[in-house]
Amino acid sequence: MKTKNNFSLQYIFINYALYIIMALMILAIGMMSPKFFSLRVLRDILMQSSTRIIVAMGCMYILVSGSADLSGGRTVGLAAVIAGSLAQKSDYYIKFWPNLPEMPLIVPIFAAILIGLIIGLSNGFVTAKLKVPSFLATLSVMMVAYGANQLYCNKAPNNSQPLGGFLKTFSELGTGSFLNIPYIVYIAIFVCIFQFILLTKTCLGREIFACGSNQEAARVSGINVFKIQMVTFALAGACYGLAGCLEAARTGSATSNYGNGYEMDAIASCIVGGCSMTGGVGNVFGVFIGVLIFNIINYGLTFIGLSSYWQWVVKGLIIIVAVSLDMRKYNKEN
Amino acid sequence: MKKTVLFILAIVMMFATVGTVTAEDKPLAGVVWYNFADTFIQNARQSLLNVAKADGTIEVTDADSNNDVATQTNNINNMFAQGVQYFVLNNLNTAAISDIVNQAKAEGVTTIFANTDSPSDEDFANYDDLYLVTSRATESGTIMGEAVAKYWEEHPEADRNQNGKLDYIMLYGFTWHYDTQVRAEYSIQALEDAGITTNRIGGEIIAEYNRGKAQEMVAALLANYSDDIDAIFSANDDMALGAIEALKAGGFFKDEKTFIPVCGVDATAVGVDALKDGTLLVTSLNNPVKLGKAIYKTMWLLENDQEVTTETLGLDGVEVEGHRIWISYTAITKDNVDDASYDINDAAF
Amino acid sequence: MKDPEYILEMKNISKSFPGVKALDQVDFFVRPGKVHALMGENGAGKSTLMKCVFGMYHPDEGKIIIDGQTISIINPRDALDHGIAMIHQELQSIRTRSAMENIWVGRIPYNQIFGVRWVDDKKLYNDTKALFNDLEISIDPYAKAGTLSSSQCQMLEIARAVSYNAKIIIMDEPTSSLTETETELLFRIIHKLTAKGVAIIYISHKIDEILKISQEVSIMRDGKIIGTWPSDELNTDLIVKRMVGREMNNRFPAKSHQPKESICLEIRHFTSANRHSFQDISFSVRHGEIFGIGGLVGAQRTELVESIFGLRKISNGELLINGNPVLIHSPEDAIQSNMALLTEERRASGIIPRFSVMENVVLTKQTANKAYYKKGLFLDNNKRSADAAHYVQAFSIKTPSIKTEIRYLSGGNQQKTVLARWMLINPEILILDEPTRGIDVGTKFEIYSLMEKMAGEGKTIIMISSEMPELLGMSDRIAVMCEGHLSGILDGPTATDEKVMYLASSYKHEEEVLNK
Repeated sequence: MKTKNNFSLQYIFINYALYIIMALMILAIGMMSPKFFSLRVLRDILMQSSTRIIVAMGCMYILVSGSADLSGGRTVGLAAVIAGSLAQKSDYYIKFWPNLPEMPLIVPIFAAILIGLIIGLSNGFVTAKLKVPSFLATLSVMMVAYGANQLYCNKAPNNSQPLGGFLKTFSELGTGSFLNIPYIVYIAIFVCIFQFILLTKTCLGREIFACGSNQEAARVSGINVFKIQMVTFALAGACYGLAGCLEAARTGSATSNYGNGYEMDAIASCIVGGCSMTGGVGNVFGVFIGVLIFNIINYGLTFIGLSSYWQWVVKGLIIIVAVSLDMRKYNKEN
Repeated sequence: MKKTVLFILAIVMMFATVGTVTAEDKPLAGVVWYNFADTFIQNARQSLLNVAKADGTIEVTDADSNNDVATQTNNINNMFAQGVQYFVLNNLNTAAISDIVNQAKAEGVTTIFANTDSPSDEDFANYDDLYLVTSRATESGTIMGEAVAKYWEEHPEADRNQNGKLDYIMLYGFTWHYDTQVRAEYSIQALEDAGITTNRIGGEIIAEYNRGKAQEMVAALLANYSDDIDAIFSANDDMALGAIEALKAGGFFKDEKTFIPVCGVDATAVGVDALKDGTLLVTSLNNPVKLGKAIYKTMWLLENDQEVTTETLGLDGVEVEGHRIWISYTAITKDNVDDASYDINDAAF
Repeated sequence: MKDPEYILEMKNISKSFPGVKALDQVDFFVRPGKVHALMGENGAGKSTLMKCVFGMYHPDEGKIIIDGQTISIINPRDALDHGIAMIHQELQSIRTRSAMENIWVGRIPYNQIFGVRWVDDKKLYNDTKALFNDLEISIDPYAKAGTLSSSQCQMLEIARAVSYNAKIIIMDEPTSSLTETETELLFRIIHKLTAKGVAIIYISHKIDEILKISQEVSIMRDGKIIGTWPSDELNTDLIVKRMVGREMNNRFPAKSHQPKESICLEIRHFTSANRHSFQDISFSVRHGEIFGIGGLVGAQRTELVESIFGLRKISNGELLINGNPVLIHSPEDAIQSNMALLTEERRASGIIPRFSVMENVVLTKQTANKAYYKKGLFLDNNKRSADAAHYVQAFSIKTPSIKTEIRYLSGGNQQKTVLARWMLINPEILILDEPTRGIDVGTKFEIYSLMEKMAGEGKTIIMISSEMPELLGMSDRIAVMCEGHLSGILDGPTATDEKVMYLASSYKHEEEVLNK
């Protein structure tokens, strides 16, 4: 208690490291190019973050419930392709389903979320029922999803071509905006708010946290652990599906390679945002910031014209700094 | 312990027995592609398989290296282990060409490098049964450069910041990728040959041939250099289309005044669509069917003990120089979009 | 060199954690060749003090003197180098490795051939065997630690501590999972060690044991040592009084409840799906009865109650509540049938470590009765906090706030929190598995009073206990199990130590008698 001031400074630094890092990064980039402080940049970063935020939110459900999920990226890819194949103009010359009439916007969105749910439930079944460790279960399901995606894409007449020729309404979903803020940013923020409420304000959310923190105790306390695992994987899958659909709408195209590596970005964002690999810990706002940090790196370093390779180096360093400070935080309390 | 040894012995013997009974009637060609997920490769692969199936002289088996050098190495060994007569390699590992040639020579397998960096003259001198079937990758760069040079001459307002220089963004696939390198190099070369001073903005933008990545990176650059950018070069159509999406979001492509020349390579369906829309300036077609056919025809000629020449191959736009078989790129613009179509089920050769 | 009087001197030791002063200027002296007992209620600072000796914590102030030399102990490795070994309260064996590897971990003997260190299996085995023989432990050195019972693991820990040839051995609750025979064996080991001049610091809640084995007793309360006395000047009442800081005449509350005639819970021919576990168990428990289950470690008592609660599968058997057959496949079913189970392993299956005290208390209620805490779509935090606060007060749970994460609480307070979780659903049948294990005397009394009160209300209580006084003192009837079989049911008032022990170790014997 004799070093009160010292203690609190250190305390602030350790507890708000994430925000300090983010602020320093923004300051550094802004000093090199003042144009960085503009609404346009903010809008771009939010827009680019939005699909990744949704993927990271899905991943967060899984991490909080005490599992791991490697299937995120490939699920995004599969959902993107399926949504894309159902959102093409009828006069597009290599239409994926040549005889399919033009679909209302809800069909591709619904189909993408449905495929995400199916993959999520498969993950849940393999993990919770077949008792395969989640790391392996989701790795295997990820492989199946990727294979299925390539098979689907390779179907005649598409023959592995990138899917294009999307309906105006569908492209509008990804590129249009309301009050100068893109729709997908609203969607991402809605997903975050929904998840925040679900995890902190509802019984289901608290049960997910309980399972993640101590599965055995949760079971003894009368929580249906199987159900919780199925639900978390399904929720995650739905997030991935939605993200895939938006990814296709945003880029105006879809290939089987979409979403590659998103799962690792999502896990990294979650961990940087304060989730624990061992489960039971995590908050939506932290993960949101985690995703933003990575996208600020991506955007900012390109913005100032620094070679893309540096982005990897900086990303890696950020993870080390953020997570090691986080560990200190918990060690201190112990 | 003893059990383990016995088990291993049994397994080894099983493999030995299987190894001795590979008596195939037809010659087998083993093809290793760098990445099935690459649209162009996928089409060339389908074309080769279709031609082989229709003809029936040579059987074709193939493998995917998944864009990974280690996987490619495994695939190569696997093909030699299968005892293929022809080995076709869509090489990823440009540093190891001579080693691969030596390995093929030791195995005595006729080897064709396909759609990749050429083996050196020494390699060809070292091994007689070595061939190269590839497009002139440099042409894809030159086509982009020439198209932009033409546009630059015709549109004085194209120098948007009036600095007398052509300020461009170059979208790279992977910097270690041969195609990426020559496309970047020769497009700028063509501009400089036309007497245009150039200035690259944003350094090496590595978007990994990925549409979404290119879109995000160009958006970031636009936020900073919106008034400077005069043209965008891209090592493939997907990245070019990503750039166009970003430009559209940044207020470009609304009318003729807000047009920015964007060039791609590959003439994919979505790329051709963009040509028709008037957003993409130019792309070039490396016809995958021609690649598939040229690979098969080369093997077919060798199987029938014929010499491989421009005449014996008899494919339009394909030239033979010694053991090197070159396929030309076709420039595709708004005016000749029909030339971009090809039929991967076309089995005539 | 003159032998110093004390082998370990700790002077003026203080240690603070955020919000708590765990140790407050503690002086603690240990003589060589003696057993020095350290007592105190949970949270009094015993474990913290010992962790300072063992290098797991670093004191904020004060000095540690070993053999007359002031030293600073950086980490456990360092402590071992200074001749200090510690047997931990929580078992720390590596489950997938053999017993012998667990003993010598970190110092496995090896032969160096071509610069590579090859494990010397023969020496490893022989050393272990010699150590086990010396200590009279009968564990196969090759057995995987995961396959050993918790008492065997405890013996393993003891053997490991001895193997360091330490001058000071700290034993933190060494007998909590040991049977009576094993406890006697441990005492023989302690005698051998003290004869060689080793000092033992012995932490335990079991007063009888302390009086039997130790020569000196130090008592801690609220982070301070309140005194050190020779053991022969102490008795149970004095110790309890000094630990609690108030008069404590009875260890058990006065028996006020009277079991009713009606039967609440009955099991018939209960047989585990696991062939090595319990077989063909039948008994019935009345309303308002405290039904004790005694037996040695390995008697499958925990397995039995966990099967009743739906945590484990049975291959055969019937369960009746108030005369109606009930099917229970999961804890949810059990909870819906008004059952509650306080598990033996508080850390592994009791607390949700990352949850606040409040969330730990309301967990089962909010899961079992979804509507109860709902306000619209969401949870009603005011109601949850009110319920939790009620129990924190009623059970006098010591916590800075109901929002504090439970992992920062002491063991006894964690136990009371988990108990509150069950009380909140107001169960008809309460199953307690070793409810007072590792808990201080004051808390124990509170838990006993609660059991009395519940039984008085006509609730049914089943209690597994390995502590004989508790089993005899609290139970109306005592079922004794032995190796998965029910070897007999004793009447509480007439049951004695000897009768329970006889049944606990005699199922086979009785069977043999019957066969003849």
